[in-house]
Formats: sequence, structure tokens, C-alpha cells
Amino acid sequence: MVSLWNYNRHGMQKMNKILKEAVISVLLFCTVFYATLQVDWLRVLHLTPTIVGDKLSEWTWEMMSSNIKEVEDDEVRLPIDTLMREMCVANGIDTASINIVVSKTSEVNAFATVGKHLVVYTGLIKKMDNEAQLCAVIGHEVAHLQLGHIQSGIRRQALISVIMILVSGNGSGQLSEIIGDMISNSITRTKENDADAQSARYLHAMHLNPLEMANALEKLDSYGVFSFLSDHDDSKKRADRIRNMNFSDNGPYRQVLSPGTWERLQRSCK
Amino acid sequence: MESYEIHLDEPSLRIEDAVPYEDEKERASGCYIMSLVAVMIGLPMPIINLAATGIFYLMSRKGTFFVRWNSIQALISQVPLFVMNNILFWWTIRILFCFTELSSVYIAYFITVNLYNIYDFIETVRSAISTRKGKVHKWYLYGTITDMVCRR
Repeated sequence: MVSLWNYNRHGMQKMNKILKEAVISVLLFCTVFYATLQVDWLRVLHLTPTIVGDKLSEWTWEMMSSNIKEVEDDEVRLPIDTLMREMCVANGIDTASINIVVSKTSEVNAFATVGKHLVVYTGLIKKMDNEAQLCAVIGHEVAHLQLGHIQSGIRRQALISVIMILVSGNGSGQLSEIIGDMISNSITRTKENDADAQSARYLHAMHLNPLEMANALEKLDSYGVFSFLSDHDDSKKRADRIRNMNFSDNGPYRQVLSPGTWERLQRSCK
Repeated sequence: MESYEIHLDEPSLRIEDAVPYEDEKERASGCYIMSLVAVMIGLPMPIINLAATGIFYLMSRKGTFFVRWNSIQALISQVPLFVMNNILFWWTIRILFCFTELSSVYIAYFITVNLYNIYDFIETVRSAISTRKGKVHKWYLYGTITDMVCRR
């Protein structure tokens, strides 16, 4: 009996020793962790919190931009830059944060992509009835960037695509297709609606007719723009949603570009 | 009630007093060599720590007291390593896939876990050398737990 009691006592002593050593080990680990926490490592190592996403964005943009035929003509660049700057100033957006590029392509399209790059095709400029409609489309893409729609989904998909390319060994031929899919897949229907509404607000702040957003939606539907994950009825509903928005009266609508400048811009895009 | 005597401090029951044969030394040392590989590969791939833990468990089921004791110590040393490396691994994946941003907390944890891995590496090397010589190298905490778990 005495021996059995000794056995229990001995077991308890061992348990106590284990507990003591476990507590000391955990404390030691926590102390080292706490000590390392006192250093602002990002500052010391000159890193930024978004460094991974930023590098990935740069890399994706470099690959994408090789397929873009950038328009250097001032007749095109200056009016687009003016519209962009007016939109940014009126809506408190940092002008330098968005890089707008006009690409010489007959396709009617515009898209925003990682790294706050915005690409507008000359085919789209040519098809627009007025500057407000063009601003509506640009505003829609700016809204995607400002609302963080692009950054959140596309970076993840970019990495998956990179891994796929590395694993499969496919070169840049399929890359543009993959990136195109990435852009369309990363933007959901709800985000499209949010971007529509935000673009209409941008127009209103610029003293342009916000209902031109609805007109642009209906006009571009036939060209397939804004049609990611949507159909014809959906575009009609989206246009109606804009028409049902209540905008306060902010005076007569203005003209940002002179009629001559707008004409020359459209002519240069032909 | 019939009583029986258990002398836990009897020399023949303590690992320090075990006198291993040459093949036992080799097998016990082999456990630490495997553990060494697990420590080296475990940081980027914590699944290796888990696999090593499983192998040590299987090895510890059969074998002499000397081999069992050392394989259990190697096994126990892999458990916290597996947990820490796993957290670090998934945290890194989340940063790489942009689910979360890089932070000083992550770097602090990265350094701490790496320091722990280095400590584990050094202790494993010491254990492998000692065991090969027929001696026992008891780790802080893990040695005590092994004493409790592993019986002759």
C-alpha cells in the first residue's frame, strides 16, 4: 500500500515537473516573440504591407501592356487626360494614383486592371455619342478601382494563374486570355451595380448628366461591354436602376471639352 | 488487499542507466537523423513534421527500451514544431495569395519560429551524436515527458 502511495506521489512530482517546464518553455517562447514584436520590421527592412500584391500587380501589368498598342497622339491623349483629371478633381480622387492608357483597337471596350491601370480602347471612344457617355464608362472603371473590386480578387487569381503557367509550362500566348478571364471573373454582378451607381455619382459631381450612364449602358450592351456575367435584360435593369437614382439639381450641365476637341478626338480614333 | 512494490527509481528502470547494444545505438540515432531531416524540411513543408511524428510513433511501438525512449523523445519534439510551422506556413500562404497583408507581427513570428527550429536542429544533432555513443541526451521538457510516457 505504501509503495502504491509512493507511486502516486512520484507520478504527481513528475507531472508537476512537466507543468513547470512547460510553463517556462511557453514563457520563453512568448518572451522571444514579444521581444521581436518590439521592432518595426517593415520599416527596418524597407518593406510595405502590400508588397506581395504590388509586385504581382506590376508583373501582371508588364505582361498585359506588351499586348496594348498605346496611342501617343496628343489629339487623343490630352482630351482623355483632361476628362480623367476633371473627374478626379470633382470627386476627390488622387489623379496620380490612376494611370489611364488609350489603346488603338477597334474593339469597343474599356477595363481597369491591377496596379490602378485603366485601359480605354479607341473603338469605344469612337462609338460614344458625347463626352458624358465616355466619362460614364471611364467612371465605371475608376469606380472598380476606387471600391477595391480589382485588387481584392484579381491578385489571388493572378498568383493562381502564375502557378498554372509554371506548372503547365505555357508561355505568354495563353497569358492574355488568362488575364482577361481573371478580370471578368473577379468582378461580380453586385460589384458591377455598385460601379454603375458610383460612376453616375462621379458624373453628377462633374456637373455632367448622370443619366448618360444609363444611356451608355444601353448603348454598349450591343457591343458586349459591361456584359460580364450579364445579359440584355440585365443591362436594361441596370440602366433603369440608374434612372431611378435621385440626384439633386446641381445647375445646368456643362461641357468639359469644346465641340471641336471632341470632334478631333473622335476623328483621331477612326 | 494485496500490495506490490514498484521501485521507479530502480537503476534498471531509468534511461540514464540503460546499456544499449550496438544495433540499438544505431536505431536510436537513426530516429534523430530522421528528425533532423524533418526539422530541415518541416519549416517550408510542415506536413513532413506530421509524417515524421507518425513514423516515430510506429517505430516506438516495437523495439527495446533504449530505442523506444529515444524515438518517443524525437516524436514529442516534433509536435510543437508541427504546430508552429503549420501556423507559419498558412500565414505565409495567406500573404502570398493576398488574403492578408505583410506585417511586423508576421516577421516577428517568422523570426521566433526560425529560432525555435534552429534550437530544435542543434538539440537533434546533439541527441544523434550522444545516442550513437550509447549516451542519452535529455531535452528540456521533452525528456521529462518521455520519462513519464515511456516505461521499460
